Amino acid sequence: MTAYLTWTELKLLAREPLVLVLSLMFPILLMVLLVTAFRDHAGAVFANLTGDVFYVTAYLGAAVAVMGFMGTPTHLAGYRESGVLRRFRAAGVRAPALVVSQTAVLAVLAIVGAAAMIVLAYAGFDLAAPESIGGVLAAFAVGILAFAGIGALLGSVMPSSRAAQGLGLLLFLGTFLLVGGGPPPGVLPDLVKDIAAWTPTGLLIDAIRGPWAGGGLDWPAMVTLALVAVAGFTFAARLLARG
Amino acid sequence: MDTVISVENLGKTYGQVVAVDDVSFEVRRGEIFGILGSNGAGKTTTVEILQGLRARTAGRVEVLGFDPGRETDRLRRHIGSQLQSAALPDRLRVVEAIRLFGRLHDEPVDVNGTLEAWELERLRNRPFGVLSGGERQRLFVALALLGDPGLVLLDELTTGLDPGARRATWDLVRRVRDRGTTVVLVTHFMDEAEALCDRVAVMSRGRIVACDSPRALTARQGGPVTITFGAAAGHDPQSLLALPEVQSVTVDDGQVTVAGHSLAAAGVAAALAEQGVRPDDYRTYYPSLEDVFLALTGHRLSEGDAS
Repeated sequence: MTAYLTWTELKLLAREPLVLVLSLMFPILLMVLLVTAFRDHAGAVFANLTGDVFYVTAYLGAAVAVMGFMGTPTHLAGYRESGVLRRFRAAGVRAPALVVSQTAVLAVLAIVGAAAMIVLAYAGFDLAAPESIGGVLAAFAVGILAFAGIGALLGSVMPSSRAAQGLGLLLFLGTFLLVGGGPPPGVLPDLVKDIAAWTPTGLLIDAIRGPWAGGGLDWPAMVTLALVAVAGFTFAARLLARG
Repeated sequence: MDTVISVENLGKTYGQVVAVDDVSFEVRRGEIFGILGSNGAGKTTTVEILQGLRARTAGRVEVLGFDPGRETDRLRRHIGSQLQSAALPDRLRVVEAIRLFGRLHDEPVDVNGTLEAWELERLRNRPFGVLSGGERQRLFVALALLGDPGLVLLDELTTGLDPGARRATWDLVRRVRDRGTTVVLVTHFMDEAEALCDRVAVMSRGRIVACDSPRALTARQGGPVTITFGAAAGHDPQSLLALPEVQSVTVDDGQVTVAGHSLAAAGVAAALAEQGVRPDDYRTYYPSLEDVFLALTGHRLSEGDAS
């Protein structure tokens, strides 16, 4: 059942190419803009990275975060609003099956987005390869699980897709703009920087940057993201089972 | 086992609000059992408790031998359900919905057979979002019957449908019963309950105020049969009072109105024929479930049930 529901959700996603394009186009365009502007910059203000690595890694995180904060919650809340969740529940579709299928959808969208960014960055800006490709992939994977957990949890409590979209936008922009989506965090006050670094978005971007720049896996970030994933999945499954 | 559902002293409260109050009834195998009431009467809450979608706060419930509160997953494999205001993803196609919901059953379901049985072949690749109201209900009934459940719960099946689609949906419900499936039908349409149900529980303000066959309810609670015809010259309508089944005769503006019990229609017609009176506007009005509802609850079905 879980596999078939996942397959069905992926087919439904493929029938809405506009959703795919629109949700990924904004971060991709911003990444291109910022990399173009700051590729020759470097230093402490860019977390001791070059401007292009700083922004590419930030936007790889954004591809995951935007889905977890906005895509999945909006989709699930829409299901609740229109009665799809009730229909599933009455027919005996188990909550974990629903969470797994949503995770798969998020993973596909995040991977497509990240792949587009990487291709653009390599082809257009001659970006250097990460020091540890395996480490970056591991961070990306843990990030997908953490944000799938967050997305499922938000989707299980939000009453409507509009509410989910509003809150998601606030959470996404509120965290992402502080950890590298906008101005380099180096120019922000220390307190704001410290808080932002412990948001899921901050943790994910740190987790990607560590192995990318040759600093090895960022274990505190990786472990915290894994805990976020476990908590998100557990609570979401319980809430979805109760309706 | 002839009793499919047994409900004893069921109660459901939300804080101070009592949604279902001391409700008891039984549903027998093979019947169409109606739960009739206006909006807010507690009908939907009751059937949602029956399928484990809501927890009860009092009473005992057994559905196909399972307790819906504790054995929810096992129960759901044996019942089919169509819910009020439920939907499917807009882009999900009819055939995909049948395949998806078919996966929930232990035995593989016959997808093509299902499409054929419910006249959905033409709509096979149509996305749910573009189906008409009647087509959606046909799909929901088809989904509810996947895996041949012994019991289906249908909640407000015809709300929002045009008269043609409603009639067609009634035929679907009869077909479901003819397959040997027990049907619980929740409705706020009097004519629907009257046309389809073997027995009806009338709900008002969270309570069941009557439960019987529509015919028995109307005979007992619906008031007299009324006959009207135009007065004929030289005929004394009061003579009809001699018939034991006639209770009253009134004449108003050349129109005779006779009230009596269920045999009055035939008795009055025979008496008039004997007296040589042959009115061309002889009309009989039998009490309907609507009259029963009014007598039992003090309000019309369309007036709502806000407490």
